[in-house]
Amino acid sequence: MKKSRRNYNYRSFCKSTGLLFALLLILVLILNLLLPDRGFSPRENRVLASSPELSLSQVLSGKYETKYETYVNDQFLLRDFWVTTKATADYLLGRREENGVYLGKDRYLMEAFQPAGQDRIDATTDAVTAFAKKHSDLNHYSLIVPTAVNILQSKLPAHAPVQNQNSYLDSLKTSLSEAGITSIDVRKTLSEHDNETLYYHTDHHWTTLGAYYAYHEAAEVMNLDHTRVSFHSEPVSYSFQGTLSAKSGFCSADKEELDVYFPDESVPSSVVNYVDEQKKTASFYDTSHLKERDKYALFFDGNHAQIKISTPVDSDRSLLVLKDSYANCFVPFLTPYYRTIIMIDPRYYYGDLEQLIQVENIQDVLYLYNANTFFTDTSLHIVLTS
Amino acid sequence: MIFSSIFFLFVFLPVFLVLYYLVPQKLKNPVLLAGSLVFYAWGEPVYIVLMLFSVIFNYYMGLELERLAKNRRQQKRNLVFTIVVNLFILCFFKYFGFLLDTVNGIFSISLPHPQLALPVGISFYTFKNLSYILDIYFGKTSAQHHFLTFSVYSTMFPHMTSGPIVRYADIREQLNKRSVNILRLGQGADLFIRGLAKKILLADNLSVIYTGITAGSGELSVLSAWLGIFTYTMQIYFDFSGYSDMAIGLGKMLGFDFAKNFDYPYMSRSVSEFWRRWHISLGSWFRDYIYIPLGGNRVSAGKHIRNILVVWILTGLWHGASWNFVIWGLYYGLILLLEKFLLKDILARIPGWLANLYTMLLISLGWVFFSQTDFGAMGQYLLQMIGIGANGLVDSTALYYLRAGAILFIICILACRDGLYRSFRRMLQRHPSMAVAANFILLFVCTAYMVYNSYTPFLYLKF
Repeated sequence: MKKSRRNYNYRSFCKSTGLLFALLLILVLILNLLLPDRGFSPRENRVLASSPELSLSQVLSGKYETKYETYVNDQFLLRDFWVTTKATADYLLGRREENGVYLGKDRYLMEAFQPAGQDRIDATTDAVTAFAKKHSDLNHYSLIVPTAVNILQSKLPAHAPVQNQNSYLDSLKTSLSEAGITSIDVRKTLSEHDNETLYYHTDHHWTTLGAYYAYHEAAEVMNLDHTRVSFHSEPVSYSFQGTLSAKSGFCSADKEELDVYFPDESVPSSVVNYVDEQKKTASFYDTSHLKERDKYALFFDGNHAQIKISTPVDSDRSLLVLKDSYANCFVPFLTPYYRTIIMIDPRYYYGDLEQLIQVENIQDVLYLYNANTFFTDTSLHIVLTS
Repeated sequence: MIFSSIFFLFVFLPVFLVLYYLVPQKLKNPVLLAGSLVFYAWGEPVYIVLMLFSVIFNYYMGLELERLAKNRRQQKRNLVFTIVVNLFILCFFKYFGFLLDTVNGIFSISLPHPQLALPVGISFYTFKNLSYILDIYFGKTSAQHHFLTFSVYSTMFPHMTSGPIVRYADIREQLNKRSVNILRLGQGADLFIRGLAKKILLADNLSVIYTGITAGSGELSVLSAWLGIFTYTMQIYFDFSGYSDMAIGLGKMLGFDFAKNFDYPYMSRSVSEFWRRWHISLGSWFRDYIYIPLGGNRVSAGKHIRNILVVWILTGLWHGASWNFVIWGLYYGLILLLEKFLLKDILARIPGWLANLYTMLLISLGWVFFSQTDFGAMGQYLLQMIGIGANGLVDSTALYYLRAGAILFIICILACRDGLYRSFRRMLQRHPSMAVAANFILLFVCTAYMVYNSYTPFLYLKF
């Protein structure tokens, strides 16, 4: 190649790069100014920053500048698209983890297990055992559900450095059994079915199928005759996309099925009372959420401080469930066996548990959490001890 | 403000460039000064007072030194005063806490000291201003009489925060006579994009892996320890040289030519060569303003050794206010002495790849001293590299990151040598449009990473 030709090409490269660079920067600047600001981002589940107010003191302290940068970032055009692009680029570079979420085999997204420090776990465990000793007249059960990283270990990326959940579950089981609390250990049952969809691919929850198997195990332990009622499942949505997809940016086009289990024989409906909200319905399901992004809120309208379920069954038994959202798709399976079920979410509940137990004549207590929330929980011990 | 942010790239830069290009020649310096002040004050407005003081003080002292050229003794007194004031400010903000901690440690007392935030770029602008003052004293340049021109040199945003330490004498002419055109804009954009990609795609991704490897409970396997230090070695190069590339690129866009700051240091065949290619503007600063004034190598062997050790302890300290940086500097001082007096001939005779391997081993080891501020942790890390107290030879952490990082590692090894860039240049000369496309694909992906940095899905409702 002649030198002049090379020189010509170099100049044309520089000119196009310079021109494109300048045009691109200006274009993006103008588009960002013209496009309307977005308020709430469903994908990030938060309100995006809006333009900060200009004041001298804010500018001098540097707060205005920080806020303004946040605002520019939050309102950058095609924000969600960039997030997906980044995750895709990482994937091509070989990365299989994003924001604490692993992308495993069969496009399974699994959240890493990140337990809190030992003192926090001890505080929770001590509160639970002390509560059991105080109420030795009640039956105490705990169902701490292993999360997908535990049951679906074989689907994790090879050698993924995840914490071992089993040692935490085992040591908890020991502490609880010493205090007379019966552990419902569903690890074996779930592992036997690990080729079925026990967990959502894009969400951190278990599926209703996973809950259904756990219910069998629980019924055994709690002496409930699960042959009395049989269930069948019905898909209610094929377009569920869970939080792990949003959190990681992986699999952002994947949609999946969401099922609900109904008793085979029709039963008179229960009354579901959202106590704080003073709202009563006749269904465990709020189908309005199927139109939204957070479709898992279908079950009991998401999380509430206190939900009281009054069933039409002929029984005098009452159950108290202290729980996180894993309980929401599980509790309907228990409704044929109890006259009353009270669901308490300690993260939002500020009432008096002792009084509640008296008034509702509770006989059984069930702790239902997934391992990730239970071993990071900060609110259960407050509710139990106050 | 940092270069690798959405705000800089898509708000500050376009607004500034449009203004800068549109105003007539004689308004370019005022616009550049205003832009630099906004850039500096953004997010940390307080310390701009300090920087402005430094500008005014050194401007005035520069004039004084020039005026006193005939009176050498008086001039020397002024020089010492100027240096002391500059170093006092630097030391007060950078080393005061470190000094008190050391005193407290030695005497087991606890003198309280305020936790001062380090003013951005103070190490760089202090050294820049000192080079100006010293060059006047040594007669290498005349003083700048025009205050605006001097303040443009001293505060210019491209090399304000992270270098290179551009010398006044090198850009004296350009400060008043420079041209901007589409060709230079393109050269600058090309360099900027390459620097941005080094920082965001390579360094930041390596940092995730390094954190992943070292964040555990402290027990590393031998492979993890080596993988960790390999990752750190690559990360620090791409981070720093990426930032320098961006600075030089921005300089080009504004019509300046800054000398290059990194010249493929990891291809070096000796540690001495490495230091001629790594952070060149800092190395030459220490050479010209400390080593040579001390007598350099034209003195007795004893003094020569002293000179080398002084320079390297100071180089270490410049990088951070902590004892590990002193160790790190001394380590290099000793290696350079060893190479000078013993290894030079051997290194010249052995095959190039072996000499490069030797160099890289020593440099990687050096980064252990550099990265571990705590001596206990440093010792533990070094021991784990040779298997003492290590969690076996290989563990799953090492295997996981080896696999997750494989592609990135290969890209890094290629990109820290000159082959990759040479093939880019070849492509550029045959198919310029493909080279343009390659650059903009890089910019596109970098943008995605920058947006993602602010991606904070709020998921408490999830449970």
